[in-house]
Amino acid sequence: MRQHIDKLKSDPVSSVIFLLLLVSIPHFRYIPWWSILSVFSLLSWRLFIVIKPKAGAGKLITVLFTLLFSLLIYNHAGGFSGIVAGSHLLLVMTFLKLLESRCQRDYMLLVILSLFIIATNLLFSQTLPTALYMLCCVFITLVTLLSLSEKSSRITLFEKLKTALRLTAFSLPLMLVLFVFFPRISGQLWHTNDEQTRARSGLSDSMEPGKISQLVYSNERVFRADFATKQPEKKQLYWRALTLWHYDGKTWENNKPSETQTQIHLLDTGYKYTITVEASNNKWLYLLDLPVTISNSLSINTDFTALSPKTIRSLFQYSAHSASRYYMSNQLDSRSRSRALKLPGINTNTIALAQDWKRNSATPEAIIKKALTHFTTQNFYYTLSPAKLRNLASVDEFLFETRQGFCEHYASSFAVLMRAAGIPSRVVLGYLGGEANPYNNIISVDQSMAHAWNEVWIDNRGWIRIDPTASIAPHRVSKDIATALKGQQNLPLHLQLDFAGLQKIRQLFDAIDNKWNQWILNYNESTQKQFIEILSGKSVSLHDISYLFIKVILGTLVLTVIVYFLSAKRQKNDAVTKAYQKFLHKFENSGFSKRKNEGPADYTKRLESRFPQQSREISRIMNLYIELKFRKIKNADSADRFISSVRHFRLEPDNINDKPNS
Amino acid sequence: MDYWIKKKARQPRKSYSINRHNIYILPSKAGWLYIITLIAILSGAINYNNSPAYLLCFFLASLGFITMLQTHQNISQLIIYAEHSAPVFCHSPVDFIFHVTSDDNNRHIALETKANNNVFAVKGREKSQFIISEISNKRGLQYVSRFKLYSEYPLGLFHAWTQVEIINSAIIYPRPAPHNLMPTDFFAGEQQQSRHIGDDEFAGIRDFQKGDSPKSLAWKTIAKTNRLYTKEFHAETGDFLIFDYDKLTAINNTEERLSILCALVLKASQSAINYGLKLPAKTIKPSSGEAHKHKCLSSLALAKL
Repeated sequence: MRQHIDKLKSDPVSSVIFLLLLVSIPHFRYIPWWSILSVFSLLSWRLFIVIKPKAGAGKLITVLFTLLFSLLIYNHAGGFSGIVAGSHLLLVMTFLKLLESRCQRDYMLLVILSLFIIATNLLFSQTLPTALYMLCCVFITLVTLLSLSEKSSRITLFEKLKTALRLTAFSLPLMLVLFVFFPRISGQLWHTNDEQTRARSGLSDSMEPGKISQLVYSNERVFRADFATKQPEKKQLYWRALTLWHYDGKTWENNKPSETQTQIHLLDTGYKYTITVEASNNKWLYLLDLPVTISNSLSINTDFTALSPKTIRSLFQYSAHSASRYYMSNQLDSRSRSRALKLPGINTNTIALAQDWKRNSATPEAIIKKALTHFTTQNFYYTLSPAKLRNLASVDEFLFETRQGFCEHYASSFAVLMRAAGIPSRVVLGYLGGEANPYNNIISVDQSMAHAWNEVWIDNRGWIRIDPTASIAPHRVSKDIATALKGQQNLPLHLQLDFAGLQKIRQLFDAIDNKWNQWILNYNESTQKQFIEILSGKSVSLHDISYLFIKVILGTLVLTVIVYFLSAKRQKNDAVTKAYQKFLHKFENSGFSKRKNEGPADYTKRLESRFPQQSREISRIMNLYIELKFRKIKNADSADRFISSVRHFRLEPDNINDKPNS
Repeated sequence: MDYWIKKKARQPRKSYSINRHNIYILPSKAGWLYIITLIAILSGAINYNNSPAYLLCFFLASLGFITMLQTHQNISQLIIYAEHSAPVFCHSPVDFIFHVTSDDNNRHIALETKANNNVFAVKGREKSQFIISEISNKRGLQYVSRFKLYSEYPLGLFHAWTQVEIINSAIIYPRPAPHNLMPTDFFAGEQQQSRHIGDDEFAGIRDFQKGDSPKSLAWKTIAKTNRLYTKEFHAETGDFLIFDYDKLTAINNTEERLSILCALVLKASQSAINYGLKLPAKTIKPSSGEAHKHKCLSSLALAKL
């Protein structure tokens, strides 16, 4: 057993297997179980070959395996195109290659393939943790390459690590220059129709009971907002995504009419902010209620939402300006009005209640007030897990029987009540709130903050935001969802944890992650252009950037070469030389420093006659030095002896003050 | 003769210093694969507009560049010296010994030569030695004048090499003749007594040397020339043996004759006897000891016949 372990330790294939496993682990998230199993079987087989060299697979078996796995992967992914099938195939083939690899050349190939596997990992995830993990992998690859190409085995692991660090340190500045100046181009080299591998949770374009409450279980980030002006209060952080107009008795849908443009009159300066949306696989953009302008050739729709021209598959950034106090002057056009009043003929009790309110109220505002008071006084309960609604007339059931609901229940029933009372209304989907990070003052919004609220149209005032949830659960608006749901059962873990320390760490990491997003992930064609325009102070084209790239990169390469060779020279100044210089320095104040053309032996004589009390010590040190330096005696002991003697040598003060010069 | 060997060996350079003028560098096979991988990663990064992939690609590219500098640096500023190489008998491997010195204390690299897939490390200022081993197939002087010295350290991605032009020579003695080829009438193997064959066979005269027995003085010649001559005898006369090339008439092949003489010299050197050598162009006076043996063997090695 022991000798087997020794064999495994001494064989270079062990380090290659370790590396391959390390770079493959992130791929295990999406490859099927039989692939993971085969990967582990193949590497165990290869380890077994180390112990019993005859257990190797023949050519025929390898070919058969290759065919079999190709077929399985083709079947699983429905073809070889696309990054999933491609990287799956790469992974399995690499491990098949591992099985038949024997010599150093094979191992080098595997190590370089592992670099490629690292690159495919980055196509699946670009987050900072992934990047850091991959950085570790790259470093380990580097060390593995070092030990593979070093055949004399006189180099220790420590020295390898030192070399790896040195190489990395020299590479990083060059990498940075390449990253900043390499001309980015938009568009693709080849056509890809890759679907995102994971279905992402998030808002959908319709709303029915239970749909939003599901999102509370996810703390995935949706977007970050960085305010250029002062931040609004927490209770004003209503982020619009889309408006829902059509109600069929169960589901609210998005098919909105073409409204006429509404004229907004601002009553204050409002807020300016930049939003970075995470990849969402849809086109919705999130805007603070109520958006006035938006950047980047995007436009705000008539219902004050905005869409991205392309599906958002990677980080997307835009800035916008929103008003907090405003009114709208024009009338709602008749088509939109009728759509905003349309109701299916069910929920008769609800309609009767609303019409009763309408008869007893002078203004729409009074009806709204009655509806909100109804929620607060009639024992309504805000809960994540309400009783299921079984009836077709679900609003009736909710308002008069169960009285338990999440924001979608309240938004839905409030809209039905308003429409029944003749007030045009719609449902708005989006997010409410946001966590401000104390480290960078950036507001982060995650899926658990998903929210639904209402807008009602009041002539001469325009669309007015009403949030019925605020009447039942005021903490949901003023604080956060965790506070609003406090004490309830079955809460998701991330809503239960509230250690201050943990939160601090999370926020710090979030701030770093944001920097990563802003500086690295978001660095693309347009941000590069902006950055270089700021640097050069004039507008630049792709041609200019390419030209600049060549100039900068040549300059950097020359600089790197110079710095590299200078540092290599300086390393020659070894410890003995340094100690010698220190020793010479001790005589500088005595006016007896070494003359430039004077050899160490002559200088020793001069020193001995000048400092007779210490002559023995001086000559001992100098002789050691001469021995080390000129007779090229390699003896670690004498070098150490020399260095420590120099350290302990003190020129006695009476010697210096004796006489100035001779 | 020794002088001539030394002179011959010294004429070309005995040391070779490597500097940037004689270093060549190209990507190794793994290096080309690395470059292809980089291009693939770069095109992926462009296609998916993937910043981390760009970072990875640029890091690897920079690393490649630094590695190139390092690999070049590995073999530059080294001085190679040819050491004296020990003579060997023909058909056995001859080791040409070189050593490398560096003026850099921190240098710690592995160098390789193609000749025997030699790998050796240069560590700091230590003198490190490497050997180029070759099979000798001809008696005489064997040279190594050009060989490749290369390094792929640290990552094996670049191959930096230099053609070392340095003369290192070794004397290749003739191969001692195997036992069965030895002429029975000339010098018989193991038994000391059989040395008396061809007793007192007059071989010629030579200059008198101190220590020569007065019995063997060639009185007739001395009378004629007024100089002291000593008679030489082939077989042992109690003092020495002379191995004469021309007496080996039974064998026609020059090399075989030299092989036999070589074996005789070796044999004689094992016993305490004084022996000498007579070649058509050169005669070595009888003596004994290691130096004498090498002198005789060198004469055999370098004999032009």
